[in-house]
Amino acid sequence: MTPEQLQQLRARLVKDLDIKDLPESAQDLIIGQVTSNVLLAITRATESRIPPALKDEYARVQESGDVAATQAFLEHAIPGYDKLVTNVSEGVLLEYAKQPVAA
Amino acid sequence: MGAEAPLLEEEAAPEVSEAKTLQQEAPKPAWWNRLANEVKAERAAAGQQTAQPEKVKLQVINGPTNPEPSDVPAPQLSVVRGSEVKPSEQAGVPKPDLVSSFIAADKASADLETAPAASVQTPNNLSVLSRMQRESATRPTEQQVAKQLAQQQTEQAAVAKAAEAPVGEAFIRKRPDDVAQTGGEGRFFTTLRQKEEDAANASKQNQAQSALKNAGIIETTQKNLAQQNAANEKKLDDIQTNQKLEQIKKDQARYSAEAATKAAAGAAAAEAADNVPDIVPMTETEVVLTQPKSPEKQPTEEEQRVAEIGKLKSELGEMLQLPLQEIFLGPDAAALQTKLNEARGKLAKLEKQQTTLKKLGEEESTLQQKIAEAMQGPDSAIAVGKILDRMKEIEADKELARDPEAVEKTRVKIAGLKIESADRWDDWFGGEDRKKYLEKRRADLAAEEQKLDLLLSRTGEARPAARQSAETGTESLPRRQPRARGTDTNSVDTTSQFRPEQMTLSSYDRFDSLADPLERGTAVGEQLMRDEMKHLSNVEAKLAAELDKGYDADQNMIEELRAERREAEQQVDKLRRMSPAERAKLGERLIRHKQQERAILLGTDKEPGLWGKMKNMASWYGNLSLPAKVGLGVGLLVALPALKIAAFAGAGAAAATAYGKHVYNTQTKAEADKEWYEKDLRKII
Repeated sequence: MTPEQLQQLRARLVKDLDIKDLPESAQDLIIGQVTSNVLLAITRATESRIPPALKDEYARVQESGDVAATQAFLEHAIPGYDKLVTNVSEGVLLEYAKQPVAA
Repeated sequence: MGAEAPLLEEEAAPEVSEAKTLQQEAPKPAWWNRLANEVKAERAAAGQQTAQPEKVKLQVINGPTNPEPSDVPAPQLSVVRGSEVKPSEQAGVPKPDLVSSFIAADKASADLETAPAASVQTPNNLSVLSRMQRESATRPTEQQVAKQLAQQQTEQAAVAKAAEAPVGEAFIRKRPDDVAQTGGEGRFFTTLRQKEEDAANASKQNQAQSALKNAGIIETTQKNLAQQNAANEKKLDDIQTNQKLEQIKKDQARYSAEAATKAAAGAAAAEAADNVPDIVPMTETEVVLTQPKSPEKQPTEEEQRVAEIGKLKSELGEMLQLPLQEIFLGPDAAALQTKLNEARGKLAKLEKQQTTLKKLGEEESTLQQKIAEAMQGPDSAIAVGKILDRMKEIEADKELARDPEAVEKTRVKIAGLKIESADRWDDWFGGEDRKKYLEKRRADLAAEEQKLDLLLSRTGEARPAARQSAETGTESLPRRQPRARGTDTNSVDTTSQFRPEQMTLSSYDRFDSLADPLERGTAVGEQLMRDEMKHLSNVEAKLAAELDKGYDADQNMIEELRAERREAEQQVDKLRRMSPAERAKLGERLIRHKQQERAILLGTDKEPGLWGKMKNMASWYGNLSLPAKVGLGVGLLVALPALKIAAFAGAGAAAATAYGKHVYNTQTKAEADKEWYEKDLRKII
C-alpha cells in the first residue's frame, strides 16, 4: 500500500469518525484510540469463540508469535472468522461515531 | 758598469738607445722601477715636459766645473722606459728570476755610488740617488735573497712533484687557464691549494672512516654488553626462581604441618565430643548468666568503604612485595597481574567514590545549616526552596557516585512499573485492593521518573564550564532546565509510552463529575494540553542529556529525539491553536473512547484466561508509537482484511510483555517501533 493510498483511507476514516474538524494531531490521537478499542473487541470476540478443546493449542500458537500460524489457526477454529472480525470492527467504529459529541 | 756612463750623459740622444739596450740586458728590480715611476710622477706633477727638457743648472761635484750653465734637456731615464716595455717586446726574453733582479739592482746601485761625480749629475738625479741609497738600506740582504731562493726552489720542486702526481696532472689538464681564473696566482698556488684541499678531504675521509670504525667498535661492545647483561639476568632469574621454589616448598611444608595439626586437633575434639555424656548436670555455679548482646553497631557506609580501602591497600602492598620476576614472569604471573589490576581498579574507584561522597556530604551539611539561616531571612520560602533543590541534586550526585549504573537501573525499574501500572482494567475490575496497589505503583512510578530526570540532569560528560550557584555559594554543574511541566502527575510521560490516549481511567474519572459535556470536554482538552507539554519537556530533557554526553552521545538517538521533539512541538502547537470548542470536542472524544473501552472490557474478567490476554494485547498496543497505531488503525478499520490484522494482534498480544522488555532492555522505544513498523506492520498493510 502506497502512502497516498494510506492517506486516502485515513481521510475516509476521519470522515466516518466525524473528526474532520479537528486538527490532524487530534485526529491521529482519536484513530489510535479507536483502533485500540477495535483490537480489544476483536480479541474478546475471538477468544470467546475458540472451542475449549483448542484453547491450549491456540495459546501455543499465540506464544510462538507466528502471525501466519495464528491466522491459519483462527480460520480453522472459528467458522466465518473473516466475517466475525469485520463485523466487530465495524461495530466499534459505528458505536464510536454515533456517540453524542459535545459542542 | 762603465758601459752605463752614457746613461748619465743624457744630453746626447744616441745614448738613450744604449741605455735602453742596457735596460733590456740588465732589468731593474721592482723597487728600482717603483722609484723611477715616482720620479716620473713628480716631474709630471711639476709640469715638466719630457719632450721639452727642463733647463737645469749643472753642479760639478769633485770634478772639472762647467762655468756655463747648460741647457741640456733633463735626462730621460731609461728605467722609466724600461718599465714600460710591453710584454710583446719581451718575447723571447727569458723572465728574470727574483735573485738575479736583486743582484742587478744592487750592482747598479753600487755603480752609481762609485761613479765619478763629474760624470753625473743633475739635482734630480741626485735626488734619485739619495732615494736609492735610502731604499738600499731596507732592501733584502744576500742572505735573505738566498733564503728566498731556497724557498722558491723548494716550491718549484713541490710544483713539479705535484704535476707528476695524477691528481695534479688532472688538475693542470683540466685548468689550463688557471692563472687567469685564480687572479694571477698561477698554477703553482692553485695546485698548492688544491693539494691542501685534497689533503683536507683525505683528512676528513680518514676521520669519517675512523668514526665508522669507532662506531662499529662501540656497537660490537654494546652487543657484547647486552649479551653479558642478558646472561647475568638469566642467572639472576635462575637464582630467584630457585629461591622462590625453595620458598614454595617451605610454604607447602608449613601448610602441610598446619593441616596435619588441625586435623589432629579436629580428631581429638571429635573424640572428646563423642566422649561427652549426652546430659551434663549443671550446677548452679556453672550457670553463666549471659547478658544479651547489645546489637553491634553496624558500620556506616563510609566506615565500610574506608575499611574496604584499607583492606585493598594492604592486599596491594602485599602483592607489591613480591619479586617483580614473580609478578611478571612467574608461573602465576597472569593470575597475579589480574588480581593486582583488579585491586588497583577497585581501590581507585573506591577512593574516588570516597572523595566525592565526602565532598558532597560536607556540602550537604553546610546547606542544612543554611536552611536554618534562610528561614530567618527575607523570602525564606524561595531561599529554602533553592537550597532544597540543591540538596536534591547532591542526593542524586551521591547516588551516582555510589552506583554509576544508577541511571540504567532506574530506567529498568521504571519500565517494569510502567508495564504494571498500565493495567487500566484493574482499576475497574480488580477490586479495591488491586486499585490501591496500582495507585501505589503509579506513585512509585512518578517518583522514579522524577528521580530519573534528576539523575539525567546530573550526568553527562561534555558539559559547559561549571557555574557558580549564587544561592548556595557552591559550585554545581550546569544543566539544561526542562520546560515547565504540567502539574498533574497522574500520567507522567517520560518515554512517550504513556501518551494522552493512555491516561488512566482515574485521571478521566476526575472529569466524569462534570455534567456539562462542553465543560467536561474542555477540562479533558486542557489536561491533554498539559500532558503534551509534559511530553515535550521530557523529550527535550532526554535530548539535552544525550547531547551533554559529547563524543559519547548516540547520534541515532539524538536524531530520533529531535524528530520526537519536532512531533511533540507540533502537537503542542496544534493544541494551542485549537479553539476552545475544538479542544472541548477532542476532550469529549477522549472520554468517549474510555467509555467504549470500558464497555468492551466489561465481563472479560469473568472468563478464564481472557482477562490476561486482553491485558497483554492492550499492553502491546500501548507500546506502539502513535504513527504505528494510526497505520494499524487505518488498515484495520477501512481497507484490509481485518482477520489478518486480528491474527497479528493476537500473536502480538501474547508477546506484549516480551516486547516491553525488549524495548527497555535492548534498544530505545523509537528503534523498537521502527523495527516493528518496518518488519511486521509492512507485511500486513
